[in-house]
Amino acid sequence: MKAESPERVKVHVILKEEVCQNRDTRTRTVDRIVAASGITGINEKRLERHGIVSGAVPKEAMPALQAIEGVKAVELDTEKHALAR
Amino acid sequence: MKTKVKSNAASAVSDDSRTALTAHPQHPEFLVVFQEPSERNVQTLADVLGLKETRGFQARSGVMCFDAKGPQQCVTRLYRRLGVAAADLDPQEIARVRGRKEVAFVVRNRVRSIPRPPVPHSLSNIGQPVESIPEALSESSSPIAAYLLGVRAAADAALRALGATEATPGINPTTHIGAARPSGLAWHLREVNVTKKTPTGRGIKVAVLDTGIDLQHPDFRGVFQEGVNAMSFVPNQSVQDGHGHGTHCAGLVAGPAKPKRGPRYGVAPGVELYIGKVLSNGGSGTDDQIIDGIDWAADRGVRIISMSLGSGRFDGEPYAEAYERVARNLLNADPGVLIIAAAGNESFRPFETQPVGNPAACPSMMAVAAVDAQRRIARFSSRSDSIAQVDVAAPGDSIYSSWSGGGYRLESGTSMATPIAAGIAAIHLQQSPAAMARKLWQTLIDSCVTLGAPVDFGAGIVQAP
Repeated sequence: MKAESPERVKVHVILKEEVCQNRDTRTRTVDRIVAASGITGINEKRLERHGIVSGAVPKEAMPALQAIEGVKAVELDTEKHALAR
Repeated sequence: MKTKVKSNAASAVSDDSRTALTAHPQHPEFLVVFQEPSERNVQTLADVLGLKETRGFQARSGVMCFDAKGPQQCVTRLYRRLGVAAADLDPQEIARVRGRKEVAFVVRNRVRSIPRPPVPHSLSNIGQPVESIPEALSESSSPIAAYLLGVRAAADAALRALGATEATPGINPTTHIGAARPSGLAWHLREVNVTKKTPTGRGIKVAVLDTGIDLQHPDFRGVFQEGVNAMSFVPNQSVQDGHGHGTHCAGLVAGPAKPKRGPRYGVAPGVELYIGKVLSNGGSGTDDQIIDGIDWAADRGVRIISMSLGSGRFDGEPYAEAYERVARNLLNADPGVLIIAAAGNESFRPFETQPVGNPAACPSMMAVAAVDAQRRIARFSSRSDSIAQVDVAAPGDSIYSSWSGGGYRLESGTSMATPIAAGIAAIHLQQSPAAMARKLWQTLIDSCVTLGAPVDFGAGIVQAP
């Protein structure tokens, strides 16, 4: 029987500001994120400007992601709504 | 920018006992929110509360149940996948729980209700002279009050026809609240000090990130070109607004000085408007789309972004770090971008108030509350808490603006207050276009007329110069 693949969630990983200031440190931190979380569909277009990397990770990998040196916060990609009554 | 308390962990327990669920067999009084879902949370809860025996793990729901601590107390439940526990706690236990590093915060277990449906106000059959649209011009948010005010206005008109003047006892001056105004301005414009002589925000780039815009609306036809000043970030949907909310918000910022029909409703008709469709035709969108929209607008030199969107946030819940990073970077840039966001509609006053939602909770976004035509806080408007604050207020109850399908509609929400505040910001920026975004923030705050408690109104209702 085929094993069920773990549920993946889309996340935004916000790097610490001191990490963002140096290209090498930034790259090393992203490498660590990739190695530790198995992140897929990685989106680095906001990396240089805002220090944010996005992608899909197994839900269980979120604590490990949060624990990576240079990571400030990990947030789920959530839904927002129009705010009329 | 804001002097918000940045504590995102050990926040105060809500003292709003009116909405707390007191001891009830099914509803523990407090919620313990852990930093993250983890197997360790089971042991933490057991250690801190002295709960040694469990009633077993309900695998299907992912809930771990502990024995009640006493005959009058509820069964403690740990929602393992959520990292949240529901428990009856005494003050000492609250202190112990909050002292654990695994615990983010403790809040009261509160009643949540489906919002009451709004009173419908549709002006889709508009086409009459402006003066005969009492709903649009009236300062009342209640249909009954609007009707009575209309009767009064008619009586005044009859008296004038018979020779009465302003000095006649009992007659209302023509500019009195509720009387149909010959000004041709919707009531919300007067409330923010916009007249026909007010600068129009000419040359200032403003973006509305919402459900798009009705490209064929008579007031906007030919103004927007997809890929140039309008862009969709919603997969498989064009910028055409299939909802109406975006068209309403865009109209409030930049509806024309002389609309095809009805009164003027746009705060700053001279601005150069950009439309980012980040919410679907169903009215929702992801953080990913919204942040893409923010970056797109910033890349086009937009100085003010209006975002009438969000999600609820419970007491003590942190603000969204991703939005804060983006907003702070843009606010601190040269000349920078001011992001103005809706505080949220989660309150149900006078019975219950809820804190500013995300992303408006971010310290680097300006959170806008809504007031009604009597300058009272709108019944739904969210309030400040220990994490986030309301910064300013603007009209947001029964607000007249454009709607999809070529018509107009009265809508309520902090969604409406936000583009009004954005339009006012544009008018101020026109006065000194080189001003930095932080300076603009302060200018807007300084413009406000104080209305009441800052927890509700922030600095007050924004005003045009």
